[in-house]
Amino acid sequence: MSSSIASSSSSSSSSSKKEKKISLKTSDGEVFEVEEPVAMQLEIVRSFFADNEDVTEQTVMPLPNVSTAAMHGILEYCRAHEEFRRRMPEAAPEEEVRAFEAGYVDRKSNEELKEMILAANYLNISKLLDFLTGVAAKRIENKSVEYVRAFFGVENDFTPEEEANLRREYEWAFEGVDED
Amino acid sequence: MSDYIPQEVLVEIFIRLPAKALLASRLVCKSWCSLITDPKFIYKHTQFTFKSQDTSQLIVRRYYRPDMRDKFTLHRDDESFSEYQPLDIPFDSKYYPYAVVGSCCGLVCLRSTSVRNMNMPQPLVLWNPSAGFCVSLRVRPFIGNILDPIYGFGFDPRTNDYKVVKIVYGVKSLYPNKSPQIVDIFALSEGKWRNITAPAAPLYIINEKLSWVYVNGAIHWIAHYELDQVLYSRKMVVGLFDMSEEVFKELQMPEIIMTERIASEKTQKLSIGDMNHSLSLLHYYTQWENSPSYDGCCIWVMKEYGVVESWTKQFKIDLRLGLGKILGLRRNGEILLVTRYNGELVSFHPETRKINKLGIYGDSWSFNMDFYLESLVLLNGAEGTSRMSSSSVAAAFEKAALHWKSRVGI
Repeated sequence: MSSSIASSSSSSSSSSKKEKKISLKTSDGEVFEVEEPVAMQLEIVRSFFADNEDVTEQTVMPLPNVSTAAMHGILEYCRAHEEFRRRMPEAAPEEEVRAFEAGYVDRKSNEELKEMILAANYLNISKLLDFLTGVAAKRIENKSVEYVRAFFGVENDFTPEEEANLRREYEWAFEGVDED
Repeated sequence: MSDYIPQEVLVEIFIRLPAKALLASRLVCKSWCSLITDPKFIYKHTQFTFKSQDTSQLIVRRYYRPDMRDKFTLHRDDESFSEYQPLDIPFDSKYYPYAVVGSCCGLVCLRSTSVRNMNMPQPLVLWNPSAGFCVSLRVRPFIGNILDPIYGFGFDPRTNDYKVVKIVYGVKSLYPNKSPQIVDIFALSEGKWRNITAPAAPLYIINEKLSWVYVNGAIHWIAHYELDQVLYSRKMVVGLFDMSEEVFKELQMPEIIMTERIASEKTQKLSIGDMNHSLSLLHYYTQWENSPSYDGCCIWVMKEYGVVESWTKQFKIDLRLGLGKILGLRRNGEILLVTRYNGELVSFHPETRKINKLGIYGDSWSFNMDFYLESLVLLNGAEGTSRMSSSSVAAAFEKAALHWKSRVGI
């Protein structure tokens, strides 16, 4: 899929001498001019342009569920992956991808990570969603129940009794976790 | 931006969590608890874990003579080969001997070995070690057979189901050329035994039930065809049971192994192995007939599964310490093996020949190793099985042991 898009964009750019851009508008009104092959990694954008005959290059696609901050993060990831793909179309340079991804999430707070997961889910970027949900799993894997509740902003709706019963059932599962 | 994370996104995060973290996460709130314990979620989690082909965790079983007990331990395949979770073994092997039928995708299947009366069903136990769940299967008694049945345990990746296959051979001395008589299968999702003799029965004979391997969605054994009973000539093959298709198939062995075996059968032994998810043949040899230890082993690897031409002699291991058993290949390229004389698990570099002792001891014959994946399977029990606590597993094995003792008069 992505390779056919890339080839059509390169042929059109040779005629117009300029890479085709797609305009995306975030929830807080900022418009991002995004290179077509990068924007097409966003499945929601790809299907919007594929399904609507009457959209033109001037069309600004609104993305009401994505904040500007999240959009910056998303585009950083998608641009990096487009760059990897351009350099090595056959096989991604695995070590480099891993190094980039590690550095990329290290800078993200839990709040930012959550916001990006929601955005990646809405924009339907399965590769990024796979990656970010894996990061979230790693962040909560060895944490206390209280930490996980705070991480997800979830209210405890168990009675103390119910909680004690559940805890007793598999007591060992609560041993050896980090508190913070 | 709302904090609300849709359920489908939560599921994506949860399927990437190990069993322990999931059991703990039930406490977060009611909706999480019902999501995590939902059989549909457990199914999805198992499917994801299986597909990940993760090889970073290993389960090791051994018989430890000083304690007179079997030990099961979970290890991370890292520098230190560290044991990462203590296991609560639901039975006491000192009093209730059992054999490992197989270990696959987070479940271990065991059977009692104390019963010799084939009319008495042997307890068959499925155990989820990291979550501590245990169930027993009803086993149909079989009448008029004196041969031990052969069991195989594996995972069907097409339906994400666990299956136990049971093969009962006819009495050998009476029917030398008649092959297996009854083949039954138990799928965890169905909860009952189903007879598949007619479409499935193989014509070869499975030699050794203690050497098996699960790769590529099938259980593999060393098997043979009886060519000439008088000359005792056999054709060796790799016999396999495909867990999805539920049929037996076979793979040819490398020609040279067949020729060498005919030349000197008494100083060799052939086992089946798994070298990092590749089907392998372990061809042990010794200088002396009936030697208790091997001097070395050639490891043949089937580079491309199912392609006989791709059998490659990948490693040749010579060990002065004496070789007990080869368990598998580590991620760092070292081979895990057990030395014969002191029964220690060591990591052996095939090129530098450097030996890294791991401080894990046991009788070399008793060692088993498999890749280990964490699953929540059996959390809610399973149809056709009884949920067991540690004490009821012991009781089931005890009953079998008592029965046997009364039969043999001890």
